[in-house]
Amino acid sequence: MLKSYSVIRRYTPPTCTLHLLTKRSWLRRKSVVDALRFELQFDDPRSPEANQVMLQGDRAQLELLSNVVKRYVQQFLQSSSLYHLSRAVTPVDSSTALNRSVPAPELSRFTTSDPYVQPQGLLSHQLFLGSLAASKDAIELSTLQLFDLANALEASQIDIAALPLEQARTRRQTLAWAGGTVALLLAVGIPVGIELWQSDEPQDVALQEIETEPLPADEPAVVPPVPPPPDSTLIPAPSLPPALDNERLLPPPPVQSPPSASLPTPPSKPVPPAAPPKTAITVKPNVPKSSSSPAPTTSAAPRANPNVAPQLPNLPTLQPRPTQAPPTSATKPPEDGAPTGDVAPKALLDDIPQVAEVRQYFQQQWQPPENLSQTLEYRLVLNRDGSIGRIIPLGKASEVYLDRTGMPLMGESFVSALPEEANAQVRVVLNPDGTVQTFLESS
Amino acid sequence: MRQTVKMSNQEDLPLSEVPDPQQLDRIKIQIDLVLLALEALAGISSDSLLRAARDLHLTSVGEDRLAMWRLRQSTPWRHADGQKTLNLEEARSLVLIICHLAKYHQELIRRAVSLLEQMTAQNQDVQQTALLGDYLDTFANIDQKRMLLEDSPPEEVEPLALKLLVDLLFYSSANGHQRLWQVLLAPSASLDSE
Repeated sequence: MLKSYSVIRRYTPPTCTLHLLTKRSWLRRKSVVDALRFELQFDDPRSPEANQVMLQGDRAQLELLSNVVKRYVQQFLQSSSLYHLSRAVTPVDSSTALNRSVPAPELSRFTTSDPYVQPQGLLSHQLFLGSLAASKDAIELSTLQLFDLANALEASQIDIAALPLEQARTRRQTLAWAGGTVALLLAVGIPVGIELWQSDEPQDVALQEIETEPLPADEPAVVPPVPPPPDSTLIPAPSLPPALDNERLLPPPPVQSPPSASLPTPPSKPVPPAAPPKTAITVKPNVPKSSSSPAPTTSAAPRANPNVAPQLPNLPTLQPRPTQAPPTSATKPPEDGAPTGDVAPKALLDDIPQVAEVRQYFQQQWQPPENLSQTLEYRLVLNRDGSIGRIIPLGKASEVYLDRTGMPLMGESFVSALPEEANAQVRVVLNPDGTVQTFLESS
Repeated sequence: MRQTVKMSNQEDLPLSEVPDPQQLDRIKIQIDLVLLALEALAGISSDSLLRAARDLHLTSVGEDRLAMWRLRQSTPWRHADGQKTLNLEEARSLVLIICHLAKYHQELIRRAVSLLEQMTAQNQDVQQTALLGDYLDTFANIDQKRMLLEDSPPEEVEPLALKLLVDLLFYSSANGHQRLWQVLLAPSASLDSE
């Protein structure tokens, strides 16, 4: 496997294996297709070792090979069909007499260095590798090998064409979940922290894992503990599920008893009793990690929480957060972004009104720059009087774009005064799609 | 045979020009032959065809036509008066049905082709294997009723059946229906005598 490349698709029919790879650092970019490479291994156990060749190349070469094989298959079927017709149709008169000999398929050559395929009798085909040749110039393919190869190549072309769209969708989903999950972690982490501190148990290690770290600069967009979008079981309902008990903060999805979301089964695999074992299994990219997992999409489940510490012990049963009735008269539903009253609408997990005020402020201000694809996060330390005491950008992108966020100056009056303790800390999350989230970090 | 039906449908089978009647005739024959191979190998009944049509929500192959299939006397486009007609919509539907069924039986088809390759490589008679022997016998039997190959000498039936088997493999893939459709619609200039 090429160094620093990740497999983003895998096709494993019985007689060959096709991998699509891209550079790890490119996984988040919109143009992942440009860095695409393929590895094609002919690994039919029945074919001699000499034939078990591996081909590599870039996207253009893959496309070329796909076109060549596709065209060849079509011509092969075409000539076969003519043969059938010649045997089946009665010549009426000489002008419509069928040529009863089998026409050979045209050689599908585009240029002299391109790969091409030639038939060898009914059941064998010679694939000349052209510019893709490595250890060998040509490979002999049986019918089954040709079939598997053609299918894998065609499936890869379809997937490659769909890649940019899928990436955009995944990115949007990930960012939407990021806020919710961070909120959950903070909501649970904070009372746990308090509880642990009060009970004086040496469990700090576990707690530290919960605290979100500064965003690594090289992995844009995503807060590390975000599970992949399909695992929507982690997203909290307004009242936390009763399944939350000691030692199971975020149960891995397969364990959770009322599964609210089952893993999506790949729609393209019908399951008849006589189904072929694996003609084309694809692996969807798993945000944020796409390391060497070989399994099909069911592997999303066990890998759901790579960074979350599951072993927080002795969790208290969490009370449902009061979201329905903010202390003042506003009767808005939670998470409503548009303020109508004097009080900023409460969202889930707002602890103090200032969190909502911060959010409101930024929602009015935040205009994501056009070229920004990452989420910006800041820790704001608020003074007692409601002004900003400190601004801590989290992650490189946040530093870079700080002056584009409309962040108020330190000391400038910002939100209402804090009634109790001094120095509340609020996390602000600015998303490239224009949405804003805020959470209380500590108070 | 209830299974998740893929969303392939008539939109997958594009048409730039309507085929002339001669081409339609040829399309008919080719569909007939592929269907013959599938029936001979997988023992598909007319019920399977009907069920497939329903699974795929295909209504253009009319119930009355399919009912004729039940009689196992004729292919659906042979009317009572012996006239054969097949319109394009029916052809499309049949392509979808056939490939849907081929996909369902892909494992079997694959095994048959694998056997064929092995026997050929070892220079052995394919009739010696149960799977292929049965296939060839059934093929010949059905064909006698359908009379598609009545003008071909018997020794040509076997290679034809085996060729069809290979074709069937390619039609059993996820996009098999597109492959078959393209074959049916391809210009047939080479059919004219030279």
